[in-house]
Amino acid sequence: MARPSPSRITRLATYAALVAVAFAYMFPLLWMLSVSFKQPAEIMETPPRLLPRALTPSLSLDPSSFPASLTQPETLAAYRAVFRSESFDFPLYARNTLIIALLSLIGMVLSSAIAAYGFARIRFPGRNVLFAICLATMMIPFPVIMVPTYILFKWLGWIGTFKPLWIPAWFGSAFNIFLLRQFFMGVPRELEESAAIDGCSRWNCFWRIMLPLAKPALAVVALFHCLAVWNDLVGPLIFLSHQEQFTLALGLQFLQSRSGDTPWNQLMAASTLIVLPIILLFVIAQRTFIRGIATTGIKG
Amino acid sequence: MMIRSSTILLAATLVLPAIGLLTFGPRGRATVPTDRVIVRYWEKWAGIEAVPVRRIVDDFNDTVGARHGIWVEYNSISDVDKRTLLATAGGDPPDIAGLFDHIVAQLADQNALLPLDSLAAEFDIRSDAFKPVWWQTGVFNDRLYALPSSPFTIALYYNRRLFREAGLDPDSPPRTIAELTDAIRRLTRYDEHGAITQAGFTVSPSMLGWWPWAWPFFFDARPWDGRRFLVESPQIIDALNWVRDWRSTVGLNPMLAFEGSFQTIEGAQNPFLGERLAMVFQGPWMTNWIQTYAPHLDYGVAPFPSSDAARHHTFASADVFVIPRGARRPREAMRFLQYMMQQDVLESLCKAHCKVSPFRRPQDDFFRDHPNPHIRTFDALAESPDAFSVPKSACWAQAKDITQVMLESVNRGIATPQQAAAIAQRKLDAAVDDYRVARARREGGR
Amino acid sequence: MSAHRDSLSAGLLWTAPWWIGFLLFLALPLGMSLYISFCDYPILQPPVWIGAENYAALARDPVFYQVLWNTALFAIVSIPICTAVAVGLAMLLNQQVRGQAFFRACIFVPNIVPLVATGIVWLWMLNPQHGLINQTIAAFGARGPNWLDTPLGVLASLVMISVWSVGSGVVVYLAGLQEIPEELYEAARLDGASRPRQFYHVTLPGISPIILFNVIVAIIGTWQIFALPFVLLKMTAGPERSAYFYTSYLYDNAFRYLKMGYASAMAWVQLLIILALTALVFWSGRRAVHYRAG
Repeated sequence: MARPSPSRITRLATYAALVAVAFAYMFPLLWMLSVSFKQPAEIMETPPRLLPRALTPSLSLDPSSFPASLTQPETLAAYRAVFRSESFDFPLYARNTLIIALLSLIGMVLSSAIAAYGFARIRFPGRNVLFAICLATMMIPFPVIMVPTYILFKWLGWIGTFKPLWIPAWFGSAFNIFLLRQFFMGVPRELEESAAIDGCSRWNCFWRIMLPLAKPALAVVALFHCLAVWNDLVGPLIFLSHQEQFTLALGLQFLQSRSGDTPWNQLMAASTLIVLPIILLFVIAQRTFIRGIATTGIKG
Repeated sequence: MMIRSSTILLAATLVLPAIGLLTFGPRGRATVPTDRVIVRYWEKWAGIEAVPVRRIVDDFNDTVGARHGIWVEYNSISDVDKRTLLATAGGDPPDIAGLFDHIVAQLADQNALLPLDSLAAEFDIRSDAFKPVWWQTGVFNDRLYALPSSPFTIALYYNRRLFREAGLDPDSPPRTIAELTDAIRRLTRYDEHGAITQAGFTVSPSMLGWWPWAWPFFFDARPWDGRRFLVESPQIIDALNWVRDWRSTVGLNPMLAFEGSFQTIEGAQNPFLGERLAMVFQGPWMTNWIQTYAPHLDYGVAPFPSSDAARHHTFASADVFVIPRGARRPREAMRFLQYMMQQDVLESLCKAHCKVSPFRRPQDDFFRDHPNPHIRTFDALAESPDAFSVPKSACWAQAKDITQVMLESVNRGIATPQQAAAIAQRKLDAAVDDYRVARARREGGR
Repeated sequence: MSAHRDSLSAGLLWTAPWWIGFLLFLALPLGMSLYISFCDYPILQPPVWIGAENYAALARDPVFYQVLWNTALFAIVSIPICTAVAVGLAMLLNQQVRGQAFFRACIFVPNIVPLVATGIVWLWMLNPQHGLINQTIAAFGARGPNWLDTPLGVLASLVMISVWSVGSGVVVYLAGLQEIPEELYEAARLDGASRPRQFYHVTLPGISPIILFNVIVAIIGTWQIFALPFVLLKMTAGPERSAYFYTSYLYDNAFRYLKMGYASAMAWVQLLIILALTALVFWSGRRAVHYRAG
């Protein structure tokens, strides 16, 4: 790196800014975590305390009280209640969400890649029009097609199964196709051309040369897709009809029962459980993630 | 490389449980016996609220269901009204749906519900077992479309401690609107900047919860005459004037500021629980919230004040059971509803949901074991001749939004009561007319 | 570059995964919805053709104009602010410091907090007396506003929450920043360019295509805003219904008023608006956006 090392003051200022920003962005999450450890009556306190009572003594000089407070029955009561609750079968919902994510993941990545390659490399008449249509589909508001889609899936016999949630993924998505097309456009044509001279078929070019090159970009697509599945609420809400099929997002929405009977500490405990794996995933993958997007070089 | 190994470790914490979950994780239990007719039952309740219903369904499947070869499959459905709508439109509705009374008129008018009169007669479900107000929740245009499940009335919850502090007698809560106005004034407290720290009452739409439109009834108004919505009547203008007057007495801006700090009445956010609001307008389940979030609250329950102390106006509403048109097993569904409509069965459900009983004379243990110690007050209100329900108009959803805007504009001092009512009247007429025109065209086209 | 052209069939074969899905799961329902927009369709009964009446009624509907204005205002205010914040954050997070991954994760986290939790947490944050925001303001000796009590306050709150959830945009900008060759900065420094000038002449042109992309995504997103105001304000849609947005009204028409024809007409108008805006942004961005050769 030829960049001159920044002065001590700049460095400190950068750090201060980063810490401030990180705190501001994390604050709601910290609050969520805090409420999940509170007692229902404690939630009502005004002004609210950031640190739940059960964890507060741990900040006193006696460090031995910390592990003790965690093992006290009431500290984790909300989590225990969530795991015992009949309405929120965390392992089952997590399994359902995973199944949907996995079933759709391969299809989403593969189909998006094939179609993106088509748009990037096959110079067929009408390509630009077709690609413009593909982009325009990103703009369709879902309520417009909700009823016709429901009728269609009903006619296919898919209502009440996981199929509406993963089969359409096997036809790619406009956003991902766009992302991958940008990537393929950036790959020098010479690579393929020399391969073609060696008698390599189009499919083999794609499969043997382009796809391995696209790994970081494919990782981005996979991650975006996992996020989307994890957070999708409308799809499961409309197309599933058995509680045994619920996904985590839908289960959470349902936990917040109509008459407001579910204590907020339980809602927050459930939210925390749902968010945790995704945060882990992001921390692990963020480098690949950002590099992957960088290689796709989103440009018009 | 250090980063690598920690990354692998982190990845392992994700992947291993995932694999474990997929291979050994729980599976949905679908233990439906093959020799039974399946009745699909969709219900809004989940969690703790679903427990009593599931128990009833299990009991039915073990007894009556076993004898008649019927298996009721209970399903908690999120947004059950929307899902039932979609499924009915798609031609694949459930056999029973647990809906809300306020959409019965709309669905019935669209020919989406099965009329239950003859089925009810055949299965000996009799109207005289129920309090008239509850039976009527399922009736539209003189036909029965729904059966009551767990009903509720609305009463006044008041904070006895705050009453004492304000020099009011906690044993005689306000009975008339005039007394209510006085109590509101005396229960309102300010800080040194003139901001309200404690309010007597609020009519903010977010605070009145699901019934901001219900207001004028306490002034004896009847905003729906069966054909038209009438919001320019003297009673409704009275009601709106009252809202404007007491709000300007306590201070409109401080009141708006106070209301702005609480956006929802559901659960923990309700300022009554934090003793910031002395009186609210709520259903019997409020006791559950109090027990969860404010177990030491010293509160009382009384009929909500009316313009005339001798009259007891209350909003009466019920969750209901319907059989959508196109249901494949209406008779078997009715067999289950017959089981459900037995007094001890249905009352066990109402008790569990902290609501009142729809029956004319609740059984003794209903009051004795009920989680809400004030349940008799709510039950008595249901017998009042001035109990009112959601107007039975197919345009109700739209009308509700229009009246809510009307109340809101008076609440915020944007319009005078007359102006607000006139605007609302025009919109209501237009909505009803549009609906009639569309309906006539539809029928003419047949 | 070879002038070689492929046949239509080859193109269609390669893009088949997309267009088959498009025809089946989008074009078909979309066609149906276009037809429905010319019908009276109360969902529970078959649609009846009424010509352009829904569109005519839309033109007369004051609520339609209100939601149009509310949505446009939100878009106009939130998109520039979110873009500026996202670029700023991306530059900050692009600094080589210890704990970079942690800081990046912090910014991204709000994108994955479930909506139920977001609503409850923000209600607390915005509480005029005890909320963190007003307490921070109070620490500087001023009195914070009642956030959810005035139309302006609601708008500010929604913009604040949008700013809070710019994480995915930041990630994309970060990627863009990493693509800018270091040599460009070096050259600028050799020319004696100050930091602001470096930003203006190197950074901004470098990420301009990404800004364009993000603005378009944001336009689509803000026009479809629906769940957030609902979680925050429930059915009331805020003071004077200032948080009653286009999609909320569309939803009400479709599923509460059972006017699916009307809702479909609204949806098609929305689609046209978004397409027009996107075209406008593309057109006006033609000059401003800098594409690196190669």
